[in-house]
Amino acid sequence: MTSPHLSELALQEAAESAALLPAAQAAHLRGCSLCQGRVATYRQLFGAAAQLPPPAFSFDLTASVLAQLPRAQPAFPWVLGGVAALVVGVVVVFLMLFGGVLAQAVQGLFTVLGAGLGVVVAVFAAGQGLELLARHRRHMRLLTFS
Amino acid sequence: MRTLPTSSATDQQLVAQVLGGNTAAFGQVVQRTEGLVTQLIFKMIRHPADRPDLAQEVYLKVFKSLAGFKFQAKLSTWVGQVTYNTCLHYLEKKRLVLLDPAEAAPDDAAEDGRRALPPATSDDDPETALFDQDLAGILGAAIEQLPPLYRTLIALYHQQELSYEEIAQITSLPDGTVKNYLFRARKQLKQHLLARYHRHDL
Repeated sequence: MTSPHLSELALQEAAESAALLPAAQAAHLRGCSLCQGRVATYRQLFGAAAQLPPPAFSFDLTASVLAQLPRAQPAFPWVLGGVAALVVGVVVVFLMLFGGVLAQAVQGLFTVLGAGLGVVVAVFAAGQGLELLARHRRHMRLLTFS
Repeated sequence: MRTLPTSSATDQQLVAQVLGGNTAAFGQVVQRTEGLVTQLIFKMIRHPADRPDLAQEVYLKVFKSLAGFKFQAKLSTWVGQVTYNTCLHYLEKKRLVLLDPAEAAPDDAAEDGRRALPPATSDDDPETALFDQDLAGILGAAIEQLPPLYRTLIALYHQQELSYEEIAQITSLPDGTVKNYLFRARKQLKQHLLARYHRHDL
């Protein structure tokens, strides 16, 4: 036996299918028990790898995935749209009929609210002023040397 | 009226049903691909607690991007690609590597002069059956010791029986790189097993 032994790559290829080998290597393999043994080792390895039990989750993956899927988009809510259109229509009609009165009422309301706000601000400012005055007097008394 | 998904429906029919709002058809997609998805997640992700969430994330991504699937590959291959990329993203976030060059370097020193695995004999030989169980356990453990990318390739090729082209599509690696990594992975596995068995000389 003068030809070199098969390379590791050739051994793996021969283990998958002897037909993958070039003629010279195939001829060597037929007459070399060492290479035949090495090819057999790879064949056994590949066979055992194929027979390994596949990994599996301990739960039902399909059911779990289906439960997590986003809800399908509902069809356009025609009923809700109709109700909304009805409400908008009522509001528009109301504004058309009573818009003027409503505007006056709102204007009057703004006047009253403005006056009320002014009174509150004035009372608050007066209170703060009196408080400052009282504090000043207390300080002055403390500073008086008798 | 919705049609019920059947196991004989083609990828196109199944996708059309899901896109038409039939979520039950998506269950069929999961059942067809869960072997591949589970295999990828278990081989790429070492932390068991993270695997269920990743599986959910994968299928949620598949569901949301199903409309963009153009049937340029098999549906299962595309789902595998989504799984691989999702796991890769997870590893990047955790600053983990899929293939450490130092870990992946082949060890030629232990090449020749090693002992061979015992030769396979008939299936009804009790000693052989015992040995096969032993080999399966040792092989499973040896695969777990490989870098994540190597054990993923071993699982895809030898367990899922995917072609080099399909593996290349899933991993976005060139065909030649897939073959090269697979070659190294098998070599490492063989060396590991030879180191464990000393019963029969070559």
